[in-house]
Amino acid sequence: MSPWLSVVCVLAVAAPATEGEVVLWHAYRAGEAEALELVIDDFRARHPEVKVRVLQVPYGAYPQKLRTAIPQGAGPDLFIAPNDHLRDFIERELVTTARGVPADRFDPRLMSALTLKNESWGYPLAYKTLVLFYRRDMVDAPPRDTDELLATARKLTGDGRYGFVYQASLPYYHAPWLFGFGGKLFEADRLLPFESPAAIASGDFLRRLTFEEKVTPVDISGALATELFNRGRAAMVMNGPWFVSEIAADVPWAVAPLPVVTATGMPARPFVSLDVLYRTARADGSAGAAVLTDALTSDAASLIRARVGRQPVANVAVVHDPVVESDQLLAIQARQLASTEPLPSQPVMQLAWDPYESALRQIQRGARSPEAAFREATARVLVLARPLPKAAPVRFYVLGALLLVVAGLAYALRQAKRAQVLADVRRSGPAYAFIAPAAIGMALLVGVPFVMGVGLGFFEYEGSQVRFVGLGNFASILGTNDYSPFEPMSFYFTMAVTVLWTVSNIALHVGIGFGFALLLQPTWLLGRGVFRVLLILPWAIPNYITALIFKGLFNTQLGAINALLMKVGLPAINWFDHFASAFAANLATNVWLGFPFMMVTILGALQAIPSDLYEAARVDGAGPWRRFTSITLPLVGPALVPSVVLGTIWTFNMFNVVFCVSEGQPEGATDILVTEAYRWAFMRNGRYGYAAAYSLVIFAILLLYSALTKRLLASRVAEAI
Amino acid sequence: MASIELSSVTKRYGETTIVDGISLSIADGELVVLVGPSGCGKSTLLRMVAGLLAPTAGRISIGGRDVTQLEPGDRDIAMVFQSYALYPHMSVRDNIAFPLKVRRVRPAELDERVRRVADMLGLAHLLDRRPRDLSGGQRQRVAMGRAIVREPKVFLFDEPLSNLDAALRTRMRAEIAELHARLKATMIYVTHDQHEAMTLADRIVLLNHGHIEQQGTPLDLYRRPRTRFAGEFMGSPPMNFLSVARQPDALMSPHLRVARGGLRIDDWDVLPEELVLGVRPEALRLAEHSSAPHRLDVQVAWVERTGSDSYVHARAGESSVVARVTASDGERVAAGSTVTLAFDNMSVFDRDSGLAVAHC
Ligand SMILES: Nc1ncnc2c1ncn2[C@@H]1O[C@H](COP(=O)(O)OP(=O)(O)OP(=O)(O)O)[C@@H](O)[C@H]1O
Ligand SMILES: [Mg+2]
Repeated sequence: MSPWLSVVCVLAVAAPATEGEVVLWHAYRAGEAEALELVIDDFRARHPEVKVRVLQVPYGAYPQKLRTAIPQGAGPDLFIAPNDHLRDFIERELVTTARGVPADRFDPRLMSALTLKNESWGYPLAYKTLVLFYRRDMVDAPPRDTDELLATARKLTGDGRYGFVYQASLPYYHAPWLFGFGGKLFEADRLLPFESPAAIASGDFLRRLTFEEKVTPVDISGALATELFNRGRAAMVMNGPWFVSEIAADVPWAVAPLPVVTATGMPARPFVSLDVLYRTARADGSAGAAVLTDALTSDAASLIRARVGRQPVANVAVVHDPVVESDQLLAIQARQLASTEPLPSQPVMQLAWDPYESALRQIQRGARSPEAAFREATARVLVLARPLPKAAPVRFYVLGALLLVVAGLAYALRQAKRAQVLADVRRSGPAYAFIAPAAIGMALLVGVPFVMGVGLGFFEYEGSQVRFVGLGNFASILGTNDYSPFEPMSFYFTMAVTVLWTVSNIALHVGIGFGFALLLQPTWLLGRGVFRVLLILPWAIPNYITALIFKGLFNTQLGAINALLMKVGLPAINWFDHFASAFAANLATNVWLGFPFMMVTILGALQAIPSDLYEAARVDGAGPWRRFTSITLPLVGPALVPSVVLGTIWTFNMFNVVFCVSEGQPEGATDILVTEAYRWAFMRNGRYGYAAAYSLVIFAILLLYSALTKRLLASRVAEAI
Repeated sequence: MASIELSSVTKRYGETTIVDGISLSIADGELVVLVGPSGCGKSTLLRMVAGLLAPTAGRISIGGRDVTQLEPGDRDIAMVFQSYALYPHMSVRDNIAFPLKVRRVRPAELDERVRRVADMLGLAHLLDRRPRDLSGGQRQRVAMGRAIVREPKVFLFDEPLSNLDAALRTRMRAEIAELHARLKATMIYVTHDQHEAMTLADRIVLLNHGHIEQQGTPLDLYRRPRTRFAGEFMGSPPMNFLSVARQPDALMSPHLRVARGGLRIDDWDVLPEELVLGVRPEALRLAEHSSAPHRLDVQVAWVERTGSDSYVHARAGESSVVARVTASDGERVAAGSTVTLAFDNMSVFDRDSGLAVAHC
């Protein structure tokens, strides 16, 4: 999606503020949103002169919306967002410095996380950090150090239970170990290589938990961790304060700070992430915004957030509130705060999460040594963070574009003249008048975004600056300068995977669809209708739901497929560790989704074949195989060509399956072109231009494909009956 | 070449019996036509001979070999379907060559045989066309070609001409007759067109409700129908039926009297009392121009003129009567008038059993 489209979306939700109104955006939900509402109600009662408009923005698209709405003047005066985008916000000039509220209201550690270039860029409202949850019915005393952690976990592991559960492949959850072993991510603002000795030691620890001692399961999602804990299949869970609301009512639980890393004697240091109240340029000079800022950050508001929202709050004065002190979770959060690291907000970190996650995945399964895995991740970040294309001479391109447009127009005019379009239009004037509104609507809805998308491919963002780079993005995509064309990073590798993906899918769709169609064809088959409906069902279910179900089926420890393999005495497979198996998992999912369409098409084509042709062939001496190859295949073939062409295009762009099932693992090797384009747009610091260029290349490939098949089709259809 | 032997061949679908224990011997080189009304089981019987349907009971042998359990392809037969069943995606050449290709005939020989058949059927210039680019008659010929090229022992035809117009049908009928004369192959030909049956057959087998009503040469069936049904089915327009009562000296009805003397029936007295006279339309003449012994008074309803002949549609009491008369006689008959018809040849049927008791 281009930023233009997001602009349209944002405009649709948020009409520009009227004069004097203070607009506040947030992405809170449930208890936290409730607490904020209470604070706002209180504020409205006290300051009737200030008009406040509060907008709750869905979390998923939040940073995107801020990035696009604020420069358009359609953004808020104040907004509440996490601190991990701080530098991006500053570079894009979305936020201004924090002024008007005394800094000593807040915990100095939290305040310093918001200080950059000797300025503060927001006020901390609340913070979140990982702590250790445990079931009191399983764990007597929480472990004080990692040795104790391992010992306790070992005792409580077995029979489908795990001693210690957390989302081990996420960098956010690995951070406590990394920093506890003395590792570092940044020196000043420079990202350090990942493979430091301390980091390797933390990797060894992870490997011990998951691979050697197997007290921690791999491939765990947040929801799965919750379920294991609630069912008594996880004794200890490392998680954030949000976990509380997910714990079932009947579970006896308690919280403790994270243990000390025995090897270094230092406490495990998780990230602390902040809920920050940011001010935008619109707030400058707005008296209402200043009053609201003060009220939102006040100790009174803070207390409401702590009591109602159960948020660990940043105000110093509230820490010793009796209610807060008696709340175990808040108390432990406050204690853990002493050993935390601020969540890095350097933009390059956005590029680092993904490779880092890949490294952790490999380490946790023992697929690679920590050193090798981290080294690879470092190299990958370097590639992802490669410099943007240089500015290109605009004049030259404008000239080129003009020439193209003129040539295109001239060609179109000549064609129109030859086809006597004008005369046609005049003759059927009213008819054209009737379809004109729809035609114009279509042209706007399809044409404008298309032109925007094409145009975008020639630009690149650098902070808030948009720069014309000409064909730079295309050169960078097709040039593969920073890496070998045989690496997953390369366009050619991804292209080859995409082609392999498409071809193998279509072959299986047609093959299996044919098989089932033949099975379902005989009229004497009982329950034929029921089978038909059953076999069409996979097609009727939204494909991302199926994809998520398959993702679960392929889970290493808890998935049904590995459970079956183990039942018959085969070893469990780490499906997403190797290209072949990850690709196979994707393929299985998409074959499940795709064969019914082909089956239905083939069934229709089969029924259109007169039965006396088969009888004639039998009389002519043709056996079943010969009848299949000489009659069924050639007669079904032509009917199948359009479906195959369509199916090819769908599969080529089958985003949901690849994105949800293998997620590109291992290391992006199973990504196809569209998922790669998506990653550039939405997961790698918003390289919209690059992503648009990527999409254009995909478009060109498909255009070429359909032009070729159109020719083929024209000749084949002419031959068919 | 081969003879065909059917013994007690039966086909049932659940409770319904479609073909009811038919036994039939067909001599080598004979052309047997199966006729009968629609739904009487002609196609079913033919498809069992072809091997496309398995009989519920009974045995089929071709050329002395029991083929009951064999696939169609192993029976050395060829079949021409009513729909032709040409392979739409193959050229005429490939359609004709298909049975040879399946049997792995060498390419040189295959070409030679296809060419010969195409020449024989006048298809040589159409070999590269697809079936959809052919006329109905041409398609029919291709279907024949595909059957002939195999040089099978037996040909089976299931109403091969019913999709053609009248003129073309007549021509193709002649071609099939000629083909039979040339190939001297055994043929079973299904039709419900009694005209086709009369002109083509060495022997006609008349089926009704899954059993053989009568079989014999065409003239046999025409002259000596074994049952009232046979008399009615063979011949067009169908035979006229007139109820009569047997008297000691004549067969009587209010409209006619047939004296015993003219009938030459020996055991007159054992005949049933209630009889039906069957008189063919072409046996009836206007009495004034005829010396035929028997008379029939009818009330003329209308006269149908075909040019060469006229059909006088009339009533004799409850029975309707059709007479085929010469065109000039037709001119002289007026609708509504009463005329007297004369005839000599007739069949006499038992009214209750429908069986013929005499032909004269
Ligand atoms: N599969 C079947 N199940 C039950 N009855 C069937 C089946 N196939 C055919 N019949 C019946 O068998 C009877 C004979 O069919 P058949 O096709 O042999 O008739 P036919 O003599 O060829 O008639 P036509 O001159 O109309 O082609 C018909 O009454 C038909 O309804
Ligand atoms: Mg039939």
